[in-house]
Amino acid sequence: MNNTIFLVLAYMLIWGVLFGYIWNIQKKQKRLAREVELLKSEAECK
Amino acid sequence: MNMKNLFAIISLVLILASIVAIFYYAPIEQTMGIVQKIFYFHVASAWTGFLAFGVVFVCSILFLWKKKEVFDSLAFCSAEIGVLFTSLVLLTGPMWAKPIWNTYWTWDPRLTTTLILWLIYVGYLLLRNMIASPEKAARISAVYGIIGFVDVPIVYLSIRLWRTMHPGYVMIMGGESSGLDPRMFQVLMLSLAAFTFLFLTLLLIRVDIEKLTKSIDQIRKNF
Repeated sequence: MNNTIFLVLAYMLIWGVLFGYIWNIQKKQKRLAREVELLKSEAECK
Repeated sequence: MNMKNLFAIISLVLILASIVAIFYYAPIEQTMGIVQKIFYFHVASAWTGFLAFGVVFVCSILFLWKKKEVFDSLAFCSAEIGVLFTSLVLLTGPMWAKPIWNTYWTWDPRLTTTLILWLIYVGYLLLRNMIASPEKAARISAVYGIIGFVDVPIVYLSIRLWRTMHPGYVMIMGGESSGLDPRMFQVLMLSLAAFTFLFLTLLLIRVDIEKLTKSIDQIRKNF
């Protein structure tokens, strides 16, 4: 019985979900950094 | 080098070592065949989920006691990561179950209590987003985080409390009766260490993001 497909699927799910989450928090971090820069420039203008 | 980067490097090295060990060191299980290799990261994900919900439990108590915002942030971020790892348990379990049990899902006590655990903490995350006042959200979710943790020992003990198809203990309470090959046990320990460091790395990053979000909100309010 060849069950390799289930093993491959399981590993794809594990790394897919983890990379998806890391990519998502990295995106959030970049957005916040941009917001900080915006606030700094707004504060300088005041 | 800061703690976050150090943990990230350690987890990356341990994950790579685990993958190599799973495929080149751990033997192929005689009855189940190669599909048994799902077990290493399946069990590691379950352990990390329990650890994350344990952090939610402890930090929720500390928040209600000390009233420090950092404990609320830690509990919230840990719940999010706990849901992530419990999702992995629920996704990888059926990939093992289909070839072994001939079904993706069965309402077995271990599977059912794990699904309930996942739903409890998804509820925790939804609850926080639904309450407008941050102080009230922190207090209510701390109480919820303490009560919700009750399901963790139930999940762990489910295979002893009820009749179940799920494989037995391999770690605490497992001992020699688990029948696990010593090489399999070593690789399992390596993958547990890898996911523990990954959890710590993600938690530190996520808490930093949460702190930054709160600071930006505060600045915007005062603007």
